[in-house]
Amino acid sequence: MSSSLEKNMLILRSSDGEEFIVPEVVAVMSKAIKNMVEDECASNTIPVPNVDANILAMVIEFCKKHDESEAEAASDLKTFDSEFVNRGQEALYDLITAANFRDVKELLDALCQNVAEMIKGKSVHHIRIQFLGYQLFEILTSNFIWNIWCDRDFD
Amino acid sequence: MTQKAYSKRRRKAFIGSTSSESSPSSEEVIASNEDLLTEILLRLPAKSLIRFKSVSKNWLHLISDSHFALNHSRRIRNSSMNSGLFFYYDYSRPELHSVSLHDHPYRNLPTLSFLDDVGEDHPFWIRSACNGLILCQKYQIVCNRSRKNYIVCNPTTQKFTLLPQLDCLSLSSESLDVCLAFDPSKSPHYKVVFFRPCYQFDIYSSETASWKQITVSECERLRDCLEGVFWNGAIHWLSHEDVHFRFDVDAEKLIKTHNPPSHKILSVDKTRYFGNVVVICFLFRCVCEMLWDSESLRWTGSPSIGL
Repeated sequence: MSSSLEKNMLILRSSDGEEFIVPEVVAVMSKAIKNMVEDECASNTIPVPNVDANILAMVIEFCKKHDESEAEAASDLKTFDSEFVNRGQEALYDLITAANFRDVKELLDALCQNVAEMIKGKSVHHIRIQFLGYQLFEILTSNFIWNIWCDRDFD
Repeated sequence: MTQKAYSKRRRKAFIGSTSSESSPSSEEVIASNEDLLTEILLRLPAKSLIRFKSVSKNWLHLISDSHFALNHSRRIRNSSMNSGLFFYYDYSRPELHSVSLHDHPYRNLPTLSFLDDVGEDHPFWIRSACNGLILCQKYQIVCNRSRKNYIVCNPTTQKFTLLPQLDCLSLSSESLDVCLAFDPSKSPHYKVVFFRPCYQFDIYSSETASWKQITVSECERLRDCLEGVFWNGAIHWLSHEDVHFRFDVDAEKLIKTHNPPSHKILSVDKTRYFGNVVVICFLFRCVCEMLWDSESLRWTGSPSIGL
């Protein structure tokens, strides 16, 4: 099947089996994929585990834009970045995980900046609930009761 | 890690209210990945970081790490702002005044009053300042002789260090030029450099907490120079004779260059160092600003400052 493909195209297969045909220059914006291509351990189809089709499509969209607009004004790209990362929280965090796992530096930069903007004014309690999985009940209850409970659990 | 995850599961199991949430959310996955969390924390302003130290032990550990602090200050280097100025109206009286450079002029103006209790009840003088640290000098009477104590402090955290006594400095009556060298984007440590007219440098390093003396051979006098200014890894002096000296703090070398002629400098004695990277001609209220670019060895003017 690889013969039907142009030489500088790669197929990326998402975790749920969907395939994307992507120019190699775009795909190698992911360092992880770049390493695979350079080591020649990849055939034309590269599996991208842990990243579903929805997220993979977004990552590819971002990389394509950055590849095309290399010569474009940096401010245009910045506008695109800020619009791109401005989406629902769930997608945002899935994107970060994907960008980190696939090592896409530009995307990771833009996403982390966005998360930082979102949380910089938040309270400690809010952060605990959002990032550490604390329940509101836990926040309202005094901390040391929990410490006693947790310590007892381990013994 | 397994213990941590176990603990979290147990806590959730105990609460039992939202048991549908059996797998951790994406945010939790991110927060459990230290590399990712660090990337996000690096992009937060210092104020948020100080607040978030109390989120958890892990966050405290990440934020307090010295490498993290270094990376953070590198990142914000270009966006950092001077928040205020300390100044004396009258150099014969040690009354310290301050002015805020923020939009809200009277909010959060730092003071140095925490230094009043250090040593004896003598007033202190600011001798040098560099990237948020301040070097003060305070007199102390020992056996009917006055000694000078030197204190390095951070007005934001109100932490200070009393430099160990070095007799030739603390008992000396000659006026010494002293300069603080601190670049948080390169190293968390600072150095204090005393310059004596006989080309001797006494250098205190906070990394080793000790003094070091070096002598440089230089035939010309480094007299009549302006106060030294630390910038870009070196202390710079301008002299009246159109000579520019710089002392490379890491290499501990004194280098002399001739100033290129500049019609923008009216008079050297009207020049004062007033900020992190700029040398400003200060005539009561800011009039103009000159930037010495040591890379291209020329002066650049920037009239854009507004006070």
